[in-house]
Amino acid sequence: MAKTIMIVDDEPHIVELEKAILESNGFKTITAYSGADGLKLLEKAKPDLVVLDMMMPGMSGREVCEKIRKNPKTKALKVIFVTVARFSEVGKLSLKDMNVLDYITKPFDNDDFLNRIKKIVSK
Amino acid sequence: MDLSQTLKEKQIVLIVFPKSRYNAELNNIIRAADASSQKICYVCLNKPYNSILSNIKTMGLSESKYFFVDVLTSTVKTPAPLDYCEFVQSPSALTDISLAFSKAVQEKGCDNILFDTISTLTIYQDIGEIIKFSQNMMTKARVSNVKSVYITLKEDSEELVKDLTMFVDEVVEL
Repeated sequence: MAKTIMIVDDEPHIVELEKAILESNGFKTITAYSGADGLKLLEKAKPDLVVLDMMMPGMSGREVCEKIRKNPKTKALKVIFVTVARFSEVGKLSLKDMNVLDYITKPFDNDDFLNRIKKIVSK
Repeated sequence: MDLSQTLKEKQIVLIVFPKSRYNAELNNIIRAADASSQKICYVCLNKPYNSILSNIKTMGLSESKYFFVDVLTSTVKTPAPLDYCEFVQSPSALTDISLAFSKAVQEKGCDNILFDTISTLTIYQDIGEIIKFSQNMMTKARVSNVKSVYITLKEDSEELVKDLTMFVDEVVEL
């Protein structure tokens, strides 16, 4: 059965790119353009992985992730971040605390993006 | 580790303290940044450059060591151009602040950028925009191999502090 990936990013062209990469490789996708919309979708959907942009207006990826972890229904979801900036060592420790499994830096290589998603989803 | 040592050893530092201690802590931060840099780009987000310059003189520090980016003065009058200060139209002109940052590093030789006070921008901008801007500044600092110090006030935004923490080398709570 096809695995479902939720993409949350405020930049439509990034959402479209990630969606195209994933769907052409057999994944199903759910998309949201803000953290608030992503959380709303998670009330009903149960994706195999959430790909969260770190920097979004209104609610950052970090804030969305914290809310996912606080909700008993979603706390066990697999989450990865997509970011334009590199995390510092302090930031990497925070990622561990939030149980974020990986992070991908934008702009990314399409094959690398796909391989990392495949690896995490298959765990 | 004391503040001077932290600013010497770490490239990007976030300093958090309560609003009530702003004046006292600011002087300590300026002294520590001064001791760890050859030339400082002082981004004035909270007070106009002339107020900071006067403070620097009172503290007995060398004013020639400072290049200012002032986002406040132009909101009340048209300032005369100065060699040691770049005037930005308003605190919400983030692209212009970013350009002034590049000028400070490339043309003025600044090796440390002090943002006083980044959380003040929450008055003018969505937190997401401030985080994007700060991230962009941090990336520029790393690429240019310069240091930067981000002052934030505890009361301004807890979320901003949490997000910035992800990208800095050290968080100092005073």
